[in-house]
Amino acid sequence: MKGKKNIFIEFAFVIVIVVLINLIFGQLMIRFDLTKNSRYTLSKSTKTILNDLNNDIYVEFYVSKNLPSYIINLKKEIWDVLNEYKIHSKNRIHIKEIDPSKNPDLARRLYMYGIKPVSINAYQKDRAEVISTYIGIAAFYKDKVESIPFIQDAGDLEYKFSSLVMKLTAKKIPIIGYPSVGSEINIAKESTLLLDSLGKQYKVIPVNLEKEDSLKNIDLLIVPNYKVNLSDKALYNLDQFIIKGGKTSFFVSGVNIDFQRESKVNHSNIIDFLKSKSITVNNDLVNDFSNNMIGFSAGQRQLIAPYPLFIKVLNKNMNPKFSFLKKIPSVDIGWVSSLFFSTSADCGFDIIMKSSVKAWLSKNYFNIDPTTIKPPKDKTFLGQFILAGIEYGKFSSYFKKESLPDDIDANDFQEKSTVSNKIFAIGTSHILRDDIQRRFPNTKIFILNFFDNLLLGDKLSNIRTKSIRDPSVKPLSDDIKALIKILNYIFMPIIVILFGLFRYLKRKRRGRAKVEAKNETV
Amino acid sequence: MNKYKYILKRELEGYFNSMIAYIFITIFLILENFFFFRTFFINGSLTMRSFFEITPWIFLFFIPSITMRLWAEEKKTGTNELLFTMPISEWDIVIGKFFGALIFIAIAILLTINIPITLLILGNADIGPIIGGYLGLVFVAAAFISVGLFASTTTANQIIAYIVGAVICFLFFMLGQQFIIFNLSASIAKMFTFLSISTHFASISRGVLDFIDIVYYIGFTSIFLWLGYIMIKKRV
Repeated sequence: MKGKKNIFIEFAFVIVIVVLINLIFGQLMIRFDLTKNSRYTLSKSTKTILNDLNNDIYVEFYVSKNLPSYIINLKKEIWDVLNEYKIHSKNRIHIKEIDPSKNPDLARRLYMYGIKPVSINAYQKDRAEVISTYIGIAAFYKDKVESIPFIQDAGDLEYKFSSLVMKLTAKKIPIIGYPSVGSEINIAKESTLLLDSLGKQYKVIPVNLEKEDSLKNIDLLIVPNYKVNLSDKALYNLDQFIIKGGKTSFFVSGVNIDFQRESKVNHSNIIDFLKSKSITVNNDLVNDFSNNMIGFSAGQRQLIAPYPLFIKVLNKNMNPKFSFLKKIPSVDIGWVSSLFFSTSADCGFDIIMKSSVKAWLSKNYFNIDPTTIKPPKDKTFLGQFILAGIEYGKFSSYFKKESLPDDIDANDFQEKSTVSNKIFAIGTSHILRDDIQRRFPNTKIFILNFFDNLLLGDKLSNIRTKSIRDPSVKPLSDDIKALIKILNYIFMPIIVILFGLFRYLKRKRRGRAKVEAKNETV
Repeated sequence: MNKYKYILKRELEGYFNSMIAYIFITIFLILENFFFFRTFFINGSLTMRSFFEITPWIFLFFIPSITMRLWAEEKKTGTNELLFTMPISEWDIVIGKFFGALIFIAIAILLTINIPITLLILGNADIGPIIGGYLGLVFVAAAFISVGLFASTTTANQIIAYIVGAVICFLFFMLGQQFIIFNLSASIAKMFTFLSISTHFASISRGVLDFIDIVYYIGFTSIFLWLGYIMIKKRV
């Protein structure tokens, strides 16, 4: 009886010690981030942003007490991130946790910041119910307020919070414009994901290229592909926007993709316009051995097969000069035309990404059917093609050789840039589409990083790349893939079996030798 | 001090002199490689995430089958009495058997090295989560072995030892799963999450070595080793 009592006391003692040790170490927050991009530690860019803070930021973390049990970890993870901000800001960031659930006045104020309670399923006492919960942040800097209305995942909180700090402390918020009508992709309807993401950092507005005033104050203009000619007025406004220093990103293809009927060459004057800026969009489609698998139906079966028109651009084919590209393992782009950039006395260019060396071009007849695309038998057709790049320098006007639109006052016309400018071009506009961005988050990150880089420099793009997907497998033929699989299936098991056999025979021989030695002795 | 090494050596020889080690490791490697490479090229990502997701589940079935005989067999064959006549303490027995099984499982884990090598050959894989995942697997294996060793000390029947070991491992593994804590009160859910083997493993296998996770595994393993020690000592 006494023995049992001692064991029980001993057991309780051990448990208490283990719990205490766990509690102490739980408070210490000692951890080592082994990941390549230090994905779970505040990045250098965030630390730079925090170092640049001149005034205090007051952060209110709104979280309800009645959080469902399955998201209590989220609250801890958010606090971990916020505490790191507090430490690295040298206490310039002050954080307070508030439960707004029982404070109607506060709830009303939060509504103005865009922070609303979110309905979440909760199961308590065998009863399923939907409860309203707050998990949001508002930050106050001087007389400005910015918010993160709902935090679903702490994984991208660093990017969101750093963006918020940058937006709060920025002297001017850059404005991005996109054409409201006429383009191949209706950005307002088909690129909502991109617009949402851009809207968190910039002011994003639709513009009418026909109206000169519409482009006033725009810092960056997104120009998607046009299947039809732009009016002279629209081209003139676009031209003068660039000549006068406005930054532009062209997503223009030399082929108009038609998923129902035949895809045809793009004869829009936007192609000629770009040529006047030393950028040639070729009337072709790039196919590549480095590509993505896509699902399609073949008869009654659903197949997954490589699709050469959906190119996987690996990091080694991106320009290392652009630091925001360094951490992106791959970018997926579909139905892309090859580009050509030229140099002149006033202009130069940087290639941003190329296809692999095993790419080929479709010209004249554009087969986009995944079941019938075949690589060329003659390997001399294989090559590497430019998919995206930047032309920079002082540009000449498209209207230098063309007559000016009728209602334009020639005195307002500027023939050449006086300051150096940049034009980004990529041979497809399909990467702007929501379905593509949803399926290939790296592609969205590439575009956002590019815009950040053009407008704000490297800071935000370096933080965003932390949330990037894992690197991709380099392109391989089906035979090599099968060989790798088989080798991996059998190599190690065979080594183990051979080692076992070797050991068995050795022991058997040793046993036999022992018996013989014993017999000899007898 | 070095007496446990005698037990450890005896255990390892026990594994590798019989067919157990080779059958176990061969099946383990075939399963691991099959599950991993089955979808590897379809996913196209240079990550071992799927490997680290499936391995603890394979451990749940395999480790109790290794540990069930650790003490139960000694009891059944009566060799435990022989052990007690030797100048070896109960702690030496427990530690020796534990490290014997752990080294054996670690060898099995190490033999999956072909997977990260393939990943590194095929591209620029992030080595951090791979190292973290492997370390996490060793910790999970240590925790499961300590549970299995304890289960083995409770009975002379290996089948019962297997079932008891597997059930306890399963319970501690499942504790932190979303569908378990989904309808629990916040404080209990927090406690379950902390006690769960899987949540601490998920944290390490991201590539983040958090001291709290390491302390948890050391604490968990120590408690079950200590319980095994108590069980052996009680029957002296």
